[in-house]
Amino acid sequence: MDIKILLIDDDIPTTTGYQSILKMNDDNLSFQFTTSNTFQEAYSIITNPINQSAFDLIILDRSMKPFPEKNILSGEDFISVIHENLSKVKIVIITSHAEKFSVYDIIHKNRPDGMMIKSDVDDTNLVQCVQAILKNESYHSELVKIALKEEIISKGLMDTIDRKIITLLSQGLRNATIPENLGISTSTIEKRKAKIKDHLGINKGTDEDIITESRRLGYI
Amino acid sequence: MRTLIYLLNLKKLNHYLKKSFYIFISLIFIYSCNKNKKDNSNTIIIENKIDSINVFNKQLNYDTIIRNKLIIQANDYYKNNQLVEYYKIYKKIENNSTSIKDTFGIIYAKINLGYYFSSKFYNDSSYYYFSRAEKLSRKTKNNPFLATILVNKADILWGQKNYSEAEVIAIKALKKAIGKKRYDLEYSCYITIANSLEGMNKNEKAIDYYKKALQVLEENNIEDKPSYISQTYNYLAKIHQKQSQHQKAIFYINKGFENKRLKENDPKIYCYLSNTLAYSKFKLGDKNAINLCNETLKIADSIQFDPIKITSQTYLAEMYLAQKDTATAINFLDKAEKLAHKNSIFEDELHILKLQQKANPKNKEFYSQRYITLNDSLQTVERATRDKFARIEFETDEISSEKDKVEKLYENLNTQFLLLLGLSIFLLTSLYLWYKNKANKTSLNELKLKQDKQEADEKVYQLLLNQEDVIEETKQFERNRIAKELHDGIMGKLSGIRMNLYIIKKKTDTETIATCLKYINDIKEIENNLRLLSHDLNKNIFSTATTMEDEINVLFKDIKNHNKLLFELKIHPEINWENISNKIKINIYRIIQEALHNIDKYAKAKNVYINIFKKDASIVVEIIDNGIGFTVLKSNQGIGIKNMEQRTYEIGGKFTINSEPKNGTKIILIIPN
Repeated sequence: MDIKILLIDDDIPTTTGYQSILKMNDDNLSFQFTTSNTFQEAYSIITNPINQSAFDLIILDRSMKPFPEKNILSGEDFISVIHENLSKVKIVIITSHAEKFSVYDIIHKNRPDGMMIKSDVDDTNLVQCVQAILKNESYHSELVKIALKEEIISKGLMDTIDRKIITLLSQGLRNATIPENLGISTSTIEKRKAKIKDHLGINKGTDEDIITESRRLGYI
Repeated sequence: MRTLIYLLNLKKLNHYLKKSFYIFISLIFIYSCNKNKKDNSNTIIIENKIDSINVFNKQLNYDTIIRNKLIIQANDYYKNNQLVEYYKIYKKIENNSTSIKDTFGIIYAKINLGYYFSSKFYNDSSYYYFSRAEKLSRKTKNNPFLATILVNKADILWGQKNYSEAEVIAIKALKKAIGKKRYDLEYSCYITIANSLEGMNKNEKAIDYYKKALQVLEENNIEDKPSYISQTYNYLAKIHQKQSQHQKAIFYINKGFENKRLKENDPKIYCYLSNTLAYSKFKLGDKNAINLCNETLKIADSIQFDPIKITSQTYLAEMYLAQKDTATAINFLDKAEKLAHKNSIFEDELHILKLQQKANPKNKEFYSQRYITLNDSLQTVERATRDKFARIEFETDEISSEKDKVEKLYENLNTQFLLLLGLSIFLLTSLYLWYKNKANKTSLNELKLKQDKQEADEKVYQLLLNQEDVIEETKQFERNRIAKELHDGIMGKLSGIRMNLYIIKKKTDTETIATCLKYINDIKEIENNLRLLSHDLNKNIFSTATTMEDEINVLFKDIKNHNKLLFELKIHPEINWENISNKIKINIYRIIQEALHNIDKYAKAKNVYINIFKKDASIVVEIIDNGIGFTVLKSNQGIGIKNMEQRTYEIGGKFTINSEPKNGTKIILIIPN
C-alpha cells in the first residue's frame, strides 16, 4: 500500500530530492507524492474536502513565502491549519534553522510528529523519519536532539520571554522597542537580561555579548 | 441816653445768653439724637469725663463717633456751668478734627469756642472763632451752621455797637435760616436785626422785626417758645419805653406776663419784664414801681444774676432820686457800680456814673471825670475792637485767602506734582513695560533661538543618531538578509541539490546521471547568489551621501555587459528619498540589482529602462528590458525572482513580472510609502 505524502517546499530541487531519497528506500516502501511550492497552494489542497484523508504524512518546510490572507506566515502557522483540517495526518517539519530556541519552540508549541534540520537530511534518516512517524513514533534529527537536550531550556531556566528577548536582540531590535514587542516593562526586560547573562555565564556585558554568547551556544 | 445804654447792655446780655443756650440746645439735638434724655447728674458727668479723658489718654483713633461723644460731654459741662472743661473739650475736638480733616467737627468746635469766648466777653476771640468757622463753612458743601455763625457774628457786632454791619450780617444769616427752615435761627436773626435797627434808632422798623420774630415763634413749634415770646415782648416794651410810650410798653409787658410759668421756668426773663414794667410804671408815676423793682432785685439776688441786679439797683436809684431820697439812691448806685465794674459791664458803669453825678452834686466833678475817662477808654476800646474785628475779618480773609492761595498753590503744586508723578510713573511704567516687553521679547527670542538651536541640534543629533541607527539598522538588516539568504536560499538550495544527488549512490545509469547533471546549473546559480551576497557584504549602501540615482547608476556599471546596453534611468524629482525609510530604499536597490543582474545574464537586451515615479501615495518602480523574455511560471521561478518577490513583500509592496518570449521583460513594483 502506497504511503501518501504531501511535500511542501518552495524549493523545487528540495521536493524532488525528498522524492528521490524516499523512492530509493531499502524497505520496499512505495510512495504516492503530492508536491506544493507555496503555502497558498498547500492551503487549498489541505482544505479541500476531497483530500480529507488523502495524505498519511505531510513534510513541510518551515520557511516559505507567507500567505497572509490566511494568516500563514511560517510553517508553524501552517501546522495549525493542518491540525484544524486534517486530524489524522502526521506532520514532519523540516527547517534550515537549527537555532536551539526556535527548534525548542516549534517542538513544544506546534508539536509536529517529526522535525528535521535540512542540513541533517540525508538518504538514510529521511526514510527512518518517515518509517518512525508511520509507526506513531516521533522523530527528531540530530540537531533537533541537541537543541532539545539544551539544559538551560529544558530545565526551564530561560522561559519563553527570555528566549524572545534574546531573539529580538539578535534581530537588532533596540531596547526601546522590545517592551513594545513583548508587552512587558523596560525594567522587567533589564531584570530578565541580568538573569539571562547569569545563565549564559556572562559576568558583565552588553546586549551584544548576550547575542554573541547565544549564537556561540547555538540558541539563535 | 443813660437809660438807653443801660437797657441795651442788659438786653445784649440777656439776649446773648438766652440765644447761645438755645442754639446750643439745637446743636445738641442735631448731634445727639441717640442720646438719652439729658441727665445732669454729676456722677454721669464725671463718668463721662473719665471716659473722655480715657479716650484722649488712650490716643484712640479719633473719629466722628468719638467726636460726637465728646460733643455730648462738652455740652454736659456747659449745662453744669463747667465752662473750662467745656472749653478744653472743644479745643481738643478742634485739634483732632483738624488732624483728621473732619471739617464738620472743626466748624462745630470753632462755633462752640466762639460761644465760650463770647460768654467770657472776649468778643474779639469769639469773633475770631466765628469768623474762622464762617470761612470753613463757606468752603464746605451746604455751608453747615452758616446761619448760626452769622447770627452770632452779628450779635457780637451789635454788642460792639456796629449796628449797620450787625444788621447786614444778621440779614445774611436770616436768608440762610429761612433757606434751611431753621425757625429758631430765624427768630434770632429777627431779634438781632431789630436790635441793630433799634441801635440805629430806626425804631419803627425795629418794631416790625420784633413783631416778625413773634410771628415766627407763634407759627412754629420751637423749644422754650413761651420764654422767647416773653423775651420778645420785653424787647417790644423796651423800644416803646425808649420812645416814652409807656402805656404801650406796659401793654407788651403784660403780654409777656401771659406766660404764667415764666417766673418758674425762666426767672431771668421774668425779671427783665418786671424791671421794664417797673420803669414804665415809674415813668407813669406809679408808686408801685419801687416795690416791683425791689421784688425783682430779690429774685435776681436769689438767682445770683448780677446784670439784673445792676438794672434793678439802677432803676431803684433813679426812682429814689426822683423822690429826692438821695442817700438811698447813692446806696443803690454804689452797689450797682461795684457790680458793674466787677462784671466789666462798662455800659452800665457809665450809666451809673452819670446818675452818680446827679446824686452827688458835690462830687459831680469827680464822677464827671470818671465818666469821661471811662467813656473815652470805652470808645477807644470800642474803636479798637471794631478795628480789631475788621482786622480779624481781614486777617481771616487773608489767612483764608493766604491759606487758599497756599492751598491753591499747594493744590496746583500737588496737581502738578501728581501730574508729574503720574506722568513719571506712567513713563517709568511704560519704559519698564517696554523694556520688560523688549527684554521678554529678547529673552523670548533668545529662548526661541535657543530652543530652535536646541531643536536644530536635536534634529542634527537625531539625524546623526538616525543615520547611525540607519547605518546600524541597515547593517543589521543586511546581515539578517544575507544570513536568511544563505540559510533559506543558498543552504536550502544546496540541501535540495544534495538530496537529489544521493541517488547516484544506488543508481549510476545514464538517465540518473543526466538528471543529476542538471543540478550543476543550480549550483552555478548558487555561486552567482553567493557572489552577490559577498558583494553586498563588502559594500555599505546608502551609508554616505549618495543618491538613489547614483547608486543605481553604480549598480548598472557593475554589471558585466553594461557597455553593450543602453541604460536609461528616470527618477521623478518629486520623490523625497530622505523621507523614505531605509528598508524600502535598500529593497528597491536590491530588486533593481537583482533585475539588472538577470538582464545582464539572461535577457540579451539592448535597452534597459528604469523609471521610478510617484503614483498616489505609492512609489512605482518599472524595470523594462527589450531582451528575449521568458515564460513566467511560478514553479519555474529562479532564486532571483523569488528574492525580488520576497523583498517586495517585506516592504508591503506589490511585485509584478510580465514577460513573454521575444518580447522582453517588465517588472513593476508598487510600494506604498
